[in-house]
Amino acid sequence: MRAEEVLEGLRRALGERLRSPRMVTEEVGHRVRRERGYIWAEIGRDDLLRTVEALKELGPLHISIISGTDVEDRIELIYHFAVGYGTEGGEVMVNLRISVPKSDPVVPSICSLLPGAETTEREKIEFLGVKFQGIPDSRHLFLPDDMGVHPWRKDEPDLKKYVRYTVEWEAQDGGEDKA
Amino acid sequence: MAEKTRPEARQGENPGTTCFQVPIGPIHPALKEGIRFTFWVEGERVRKVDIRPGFMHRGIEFMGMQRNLIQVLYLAERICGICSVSHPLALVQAVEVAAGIEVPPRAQYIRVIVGELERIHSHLLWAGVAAHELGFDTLLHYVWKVREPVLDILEEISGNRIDYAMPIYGGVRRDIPPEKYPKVKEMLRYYRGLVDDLLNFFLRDPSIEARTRGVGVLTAEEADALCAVGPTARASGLRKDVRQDWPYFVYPDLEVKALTPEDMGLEVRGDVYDRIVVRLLEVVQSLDIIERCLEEMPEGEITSFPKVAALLAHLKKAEGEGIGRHEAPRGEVIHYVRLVAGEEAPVVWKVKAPTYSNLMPWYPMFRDQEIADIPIVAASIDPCICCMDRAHIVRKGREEVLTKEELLKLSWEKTRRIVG
Amino acid sequence: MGSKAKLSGFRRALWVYHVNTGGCNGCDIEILAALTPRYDVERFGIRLVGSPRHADVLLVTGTVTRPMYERLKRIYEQTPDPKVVIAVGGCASTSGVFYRSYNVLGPVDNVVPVDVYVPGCPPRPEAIIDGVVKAVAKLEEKERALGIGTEERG
Repeated sequence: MRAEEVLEGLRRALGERLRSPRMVTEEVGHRVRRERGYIWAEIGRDDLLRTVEALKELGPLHISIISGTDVEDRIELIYHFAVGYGTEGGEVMVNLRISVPKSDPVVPSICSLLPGAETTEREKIEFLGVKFQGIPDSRHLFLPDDMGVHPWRKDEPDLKKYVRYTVEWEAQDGGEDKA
Repeated sequence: MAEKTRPEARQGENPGTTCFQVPIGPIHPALKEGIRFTFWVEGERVRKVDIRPGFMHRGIEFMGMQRNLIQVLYLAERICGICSVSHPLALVQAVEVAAGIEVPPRAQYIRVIVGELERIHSHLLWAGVAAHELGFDTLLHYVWKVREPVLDILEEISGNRIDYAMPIYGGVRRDIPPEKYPKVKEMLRYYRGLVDDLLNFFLRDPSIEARTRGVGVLTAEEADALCAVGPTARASGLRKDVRQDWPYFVYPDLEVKALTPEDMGLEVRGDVYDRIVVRLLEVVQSLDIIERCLEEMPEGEITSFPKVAALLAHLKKAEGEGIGRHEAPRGEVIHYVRLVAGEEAPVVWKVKAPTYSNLMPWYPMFRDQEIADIPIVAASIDPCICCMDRAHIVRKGREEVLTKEELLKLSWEKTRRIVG
Repeated sequence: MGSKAKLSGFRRALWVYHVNTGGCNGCDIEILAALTPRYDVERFGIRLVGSPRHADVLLVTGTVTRPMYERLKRIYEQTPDPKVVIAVGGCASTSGVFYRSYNVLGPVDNVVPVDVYVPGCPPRPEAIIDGVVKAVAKLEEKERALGIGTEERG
């Protein structure tokens, strides 16, 4: 599978709603050179399910991870998919950026199409405060149920209370020891 | 604080009894121990399972986003002690893509060699642990003794048995000088001589076969839908291997192919036995890869930034985002990094360890299994030293807590019954 | 204390309970490697037990995470006196590379008193055995202080 095919497939499914698509190819290897491709693009949250369906039609689909961060008043999620395993050098990484406002951090869950995404979606619930519509299980996975902060957000004022400075040199470094 | 919560139903089954769960606390193994299981059983069979990972959550990504990239590399190494070079190998790729750093070919070969040596040590470690879970302690001791030569070679090359600190952005930190090649080749010969014995002990032993055939089955459809990775996915028949699908370093030259039980002439059933097969086959594959690397490795530099201060200065100016992937012994590792000019710390750092992807596949594996098989099924995805810390068993609405010791005893007794 | 414990001077078997409070498993596999034929501590009568109630020595690895804090305290209290606590590895001794996190509470001596520190990342099996040997001397001191004679335990 080549990156062009994947990009074509996404364009067919989404048309103009595939924003800022970028295809990057690089060569790897020493004497035998092989090209591998990535696609970076932005989509709206309403197009997520349709995009995953389109990717599934292109080849065996694997979700590696959803990474995320917050940028001012928006939360940005990047879905890292890998399409087309099973052939040599044939997998293409598709990275889709979805941005949601912090006031309404809801994204449709893709677990109905790809059940393996549940772990990574649950992690985003607890670390970033995103809500996934339709997720079968939204309990916390790694953090305590009563943890009131979202550790990856840059604007969490209460996070400092949880961070302990555990050895003396840190306390001297300007940190405070919170018991 | 212990609270009783009613867990949501999994797998569409309602066991018909009231089930309670007492959470002790969250945990995050960016891959590790201390996972808490709750099993609902009927008689001796497991009907439903709930898995709650996490005693070991250390907030690695949070810490990493406050340190400079060289410190992040040392932190990444210590995410896991068993596959300790896999995380740095993915991280350096991600940063090299983000910052536009080239890597000389000799360094790529050395990275592959260290990665494959780690694969051998990790699979042998797992084989010993699996033998222990089944009650074959002699086999555990044998395999761990046999594992020592590869640790010696790793120490010879890098200076430490675990946590090698070899990869760095732009290359590797230490060379493998030609004087050391004979020692490495000696080790390869030693292991090739042992392959038949290992295959005999594990795959042709009737009691191991009886304990593992048909146990913990994960079908190919389930493995595909649940995004399983690594030997767990390959044992179910999926030809999924990052070295083959999305080549990196010098794997295109080495033509690595994903191995499934079909490569040994067996029918794929996706059970624990198949997972043992795949891991032992991969040990042999790694021996071949290391041998080819030693033959084909060109001369040259080992890093494009010999001075760390220059590297840090370059990284501080870098802006961009990058992904790095590596096939660790347990499966796919992926790191995502976003760098912003002027910041020493990465603005975003996301780590995914392979066990994370294999958490969902655990659910169908436990379906209808016997309680005595719980240890080996849990261990079969290789979750870093059999992380089962405690298991809750809910039987007829009554909760019991079985410690790992008690579960192991049940497993060993079952083996004794079978061996007769 | 001037006496040096020698391995031949073990008067009874040493029962060791291992607990990982949030480490990377590197120290754990070196502890397990110490039990395997190359290092083989079992010939000295050192064995891992499954419950803290039977243990003389607590081997603690890893830096203490928030959920493991209570658990470690409980395990320490369940271990009968006289007991020795060995902090194995850089993380258990000084938190190692894990500091300034919302879930890491610090090295083991923030939670329970530690008698022997074995530094290293991870420490070699020989270093761990050396730590256990030093712990034996301390254990015998504690026994004397409690007025317990040294009986054969086999």
